[in-house]
Parts: sequence; structure tokens; C-alpha cells
Amino acid sequence: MRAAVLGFALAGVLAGASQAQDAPNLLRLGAQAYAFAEYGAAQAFLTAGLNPGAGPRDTLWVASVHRLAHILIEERKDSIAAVWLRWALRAQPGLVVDTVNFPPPVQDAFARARTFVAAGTPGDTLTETTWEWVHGRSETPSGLRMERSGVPLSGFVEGIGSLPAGTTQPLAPGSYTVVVSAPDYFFRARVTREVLPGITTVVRFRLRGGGPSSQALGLLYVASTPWAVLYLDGERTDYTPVAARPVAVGTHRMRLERPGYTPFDTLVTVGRDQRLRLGTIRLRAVGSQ
Amino acid sequence: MISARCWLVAVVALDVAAVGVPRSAAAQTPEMTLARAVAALEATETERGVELLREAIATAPRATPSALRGNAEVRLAVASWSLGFFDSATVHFQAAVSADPFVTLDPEQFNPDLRAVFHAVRRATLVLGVRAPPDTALAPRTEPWPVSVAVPRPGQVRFRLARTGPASRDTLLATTAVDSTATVALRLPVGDSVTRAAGSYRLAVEYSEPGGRALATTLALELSEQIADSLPHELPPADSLYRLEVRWGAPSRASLARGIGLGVGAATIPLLLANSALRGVGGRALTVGATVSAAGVVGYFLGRPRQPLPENVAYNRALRSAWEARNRTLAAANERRRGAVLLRVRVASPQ
Repeated sequence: MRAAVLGFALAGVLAGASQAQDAPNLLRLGAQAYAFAEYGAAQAFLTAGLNPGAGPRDTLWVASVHRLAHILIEERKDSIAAVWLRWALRAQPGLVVDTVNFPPPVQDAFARARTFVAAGTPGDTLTETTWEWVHGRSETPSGLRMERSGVPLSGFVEGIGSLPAGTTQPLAPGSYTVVVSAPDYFFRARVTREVLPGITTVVRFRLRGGGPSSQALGLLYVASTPWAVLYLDGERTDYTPVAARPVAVGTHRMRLERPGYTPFDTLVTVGRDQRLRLGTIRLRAVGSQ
Repeated sequence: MISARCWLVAVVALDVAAVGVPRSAAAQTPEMTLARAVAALEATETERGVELLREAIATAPRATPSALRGNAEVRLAVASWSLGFFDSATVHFQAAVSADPFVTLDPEQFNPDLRAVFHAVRRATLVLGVRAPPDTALAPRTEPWPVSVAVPRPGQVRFRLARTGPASRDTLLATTAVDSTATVALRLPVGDSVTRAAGSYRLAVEYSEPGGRALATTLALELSEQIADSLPHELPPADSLYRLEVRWGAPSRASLARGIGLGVGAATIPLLLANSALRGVGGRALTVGATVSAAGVVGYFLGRPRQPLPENVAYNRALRSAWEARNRTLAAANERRRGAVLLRVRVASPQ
């Protein structure tokens, strides 16, 4: 009887009626299906009900994240489970892992996800993320969109390609790093966000003060051959070449790093409104004279 | 008369101006502007580099090689990307691929983000590139004609050759799977007679990808017969390529001592043994002894021993042997080509 009820509710969810259901109810249905080992149905309920915009991120929500991760790990979809867990930990950084009710693989997956998320990205504080949970089913394409913000923003997804503002880039579920720039506003940010199955992740960037930055800045120009990763004060920024990169006035530790080459370290002092041009730095291969 | 003089002066002045303007314009060819842009980008004068690249592209005549235009667009894309104009970088990569479908990015010099953007652009830009030797002669039955193609995505490429003119049938030369770029060796169907095969042809290159997108382009070809020229023999390797076969050793002190000893002997023996009654013997003897000693000193500095260098001797011998072998090969090829009829393939339409 219970299975029939679950099946009926699931049919409703699959038919798109999940919008009509409220998120906590879907999570409860998911919990019941999970308890009956009806993993297919449970996954559909939980996926639909985890929408953080549709309900509170309470204990039910946290338990549902655990259940969904457990189901996905059981189904050997570890990579999808990892994406959900990273997403959940980004949305709820203080999430406590249930080590009593869930097996060690779930706990391990949580630990790995926390390590991944804990590193953070420099643009996190400038980014607002929402999710379009219109469908919330894995059959629908997942994607990433950068919202227009009234200023000319230019972005791309690392390893994928450009991300024009306002256009949804279809992407497979996973974690992606978005690099966004508004040169007129001395704004450049790099954030990593998750793309969930069947859900569109929407990122909005807050430009400080809504206009050209009032912070005392200089601009850094550096190129290298071969290309390298630029670190400023120990923080990864961009790949070279870098031009007109806004840098706070003062002295900074700069490092160019590339596997197989000797890192290049130096101190740079940038003055207010100064365009500090370091030219092309030639990295020496490890072992070369 | 005055009016005619005025006209003459005006014409001369215009001529002078006309001569002056092209000179200043010619001083900045697109290649030179591109070189200046590259120098500016090397110095991270990125904004100046962007200006110069735009100038190079804008002033480049239509006949500018596509590779140069593609190169300028790639550099403009990189500069735009480094300035944070990612959308502009995409647009310039599109222009680069459109200008030169064969353009590629060196993974050592272009960072992974740039390469990812470039590959996405390349996949999305529907352009088919075909490149063939503009004018070549080949042995029709043994030598294939190499044609390079560049495609946006993995797909099938078909090559069809047809004589121009009404009711001409085309011949499928080859069908091949191409991922990105490939060079296909085409066997041109000349049958028994190159003379009969001569004429105007159209090579249709058709590309289709599994997704259903298709592209096609044609090349106009002129086929004619050509009596084979003998191949010129190769010039001997330049002297600068040869290595020294001997090394000069350190001067020998023994030879110095021998020279001085002989000199002293030449001076003292006449003094000791000659008849003292004879006048002037001592002076001549000393002159002879000094000359012999001087010869010994000169010999010390100039007569350094020569040490042969077996490695260099072997290297030079190998260099000479390789040259002789190449010339023997050329001689053999000339023997084969003597009197042979080649097929000359000329691409008549611009590529």
C-alpha cells in the first residue's frame, strides 16, 4: 500500500507536479522511499526537494543530503554524489556529518567534499549563487549561467570556453571554475561552483560600490614564457599573460609557477594608479643552467 | 603660358606628394606592424600591442596571407583575454579560425584557458580549410598529390574530382575521417595518358560531421603534362660545416733548446777551432750563431706540433659521405626521370 502511495507521488513528481508540492513534503517522501530501499523514487523526491530556495535548510534537509549521497554512492555514482556534497557544503558550510546513521563511504565522501570546498576561491565573497530548480531531474540538461548585472561582464568557464552573460552554458554535472572580468570596473573574480544534474546554476557578481573601485589600486602586467600560474601573496590568481590586473597598492609577493620549471619569485611594489609592467619572464626548465 | 606653368608646378607638387605618401605607408607593412605589436606585447605594453594588432589587421590588404591574419587575430585574442575581455577574445579567435582554419595553439605558449576557449570556438566555427601545393609536378602513377584539410569537428571528408564543363562526371578520389587537421595523399586519375588527362578540373572537398552539419569548398585545378627536368646536384657542404681535423699542441721547449744550442755551437766552434790568424772569423761566427738561435726561437713559436682529432676527422668524413650519397641518389633519380612525363598540377583558384 505504502509503495503504491509512493509510486503515485513519484508519478506526480516525474510529471512535473513537484512545483506544486512543497520541498519538506518531497523530502519526507524521499525519506520514506529511502527507508523502503526504493532508491529510484527516493532519488527523485530528494533531488526535487533539496531546492534551498523552496524550503528551510533544517535537519530534514541535512538528512536528505546524506540520503541522496548514500543512494548515489550505492549506485556507484560517486562523482555525482561528490558534486551534491560539495554543493551542500557550499550552501551550508556548518553542515554536521551524521556518523551514526550513515556508513563510512558517505562520511568519507563528505570529508573529501569538505576539503574541496574549504579551500574556497577569491571571488566567493563577491558572488551570489542561485539554482533554477525548474525541473530538478537528471534527464533535463544541467548548465551554468552568469547573470547580467548592468555592467559589461565577460566570463569563461575554465577548461570549457567562454560564458557570455545571460546565456546558459550546458554542462555535465560537476564543479566548474568561472573567471569573470569587468575591466572598466577593475573587477576580476574567480569562483568555483557546482552544476547539479538537471539544474541550472546561476551566478551573480557584486561589483564593489557598483562602480569603479574606490580602493587604492595599481595595475599589474606580467607575461611569461612558457605560460605559468600567477600567485600574488600566496593566492592563485590567473594564468599568464596578465594585463591591467587590479592589485591593491603596496608590496606583494609574486610567484610564477609551472610544473617542470623553476618557480620565479619576486616582490613587487605597486603604487596608486601605477601600471607596473614586468615584461615577459622566461622560466627556466628544472635542471637547466 | 602662366597658367600652363602653374599647372606644371601643381602636377610636380602632386607627384612629389604622391611619391612621399606611399613611401611612408610602405614603411609599415602589416608584417612590420605585427612585429612591432609582438615586441610591445613582449614588453607587456598590452594596450599598445592591441592598437598595433588592430592596425595590422585593418591595413592588411585582401591578398595578405591568411596565416598572417590568423596570427594577428590569435595575438589579439590573447591580449584581449589578458586584459579581461573574454568575449572579445572569443570573437578574435573566431576571426582567426575564419582567416586561417589551420591555425593551432602551441600548448607550451598558450595557457589551458586560452586553449579551451580556442577549441570551443573552433568547434563552433563552421569553416573548412583546404590547402594544396599551388604548383607542383609529380609522377602521376607513383607520387600522390598532398592536400591538407582543417575541419571544425571530427567528421568525414570526401574529395571529388571532375573536369570542368558540361556533362562531366566526377570521380571520388578519397574519403577519410578527420579529427581536426589532416593531410591526405590523393592519387589523381590520369589513366594511361597524361596528355589526355590534361585540362581544367574542379576538386570538390565535402565535409560532414555525425551531427549532420556539412561544409563544402572547391578548388579549380589546371592539369598539364610536363617533361621532367633533371634535378640539380647538391652543392658541397659549406666550409663552415666542417670541423678542424687537427689541434695545435703547446710549443716544444726541446726544439727551442735545440735551436739555441745549435746557434751557440755555430758561434763557438769557429771561434775555438778556426785559425786565429784569419781576421773577422769571430764576427761572422757570432752572426751565424745568432741567426741559428733566432731560427730556433721562431721555430719554437711557429713550429707547434699538430695533434689529429679522430672524432672530427670521422665527422667530416661522414659529412662528405652523406653529401656524396645524396648526390648519388639524385643521379639515380635523374636517370629514372630522363624522358619521363610528369603531371603538373596548378591550383587556379585562390585557396
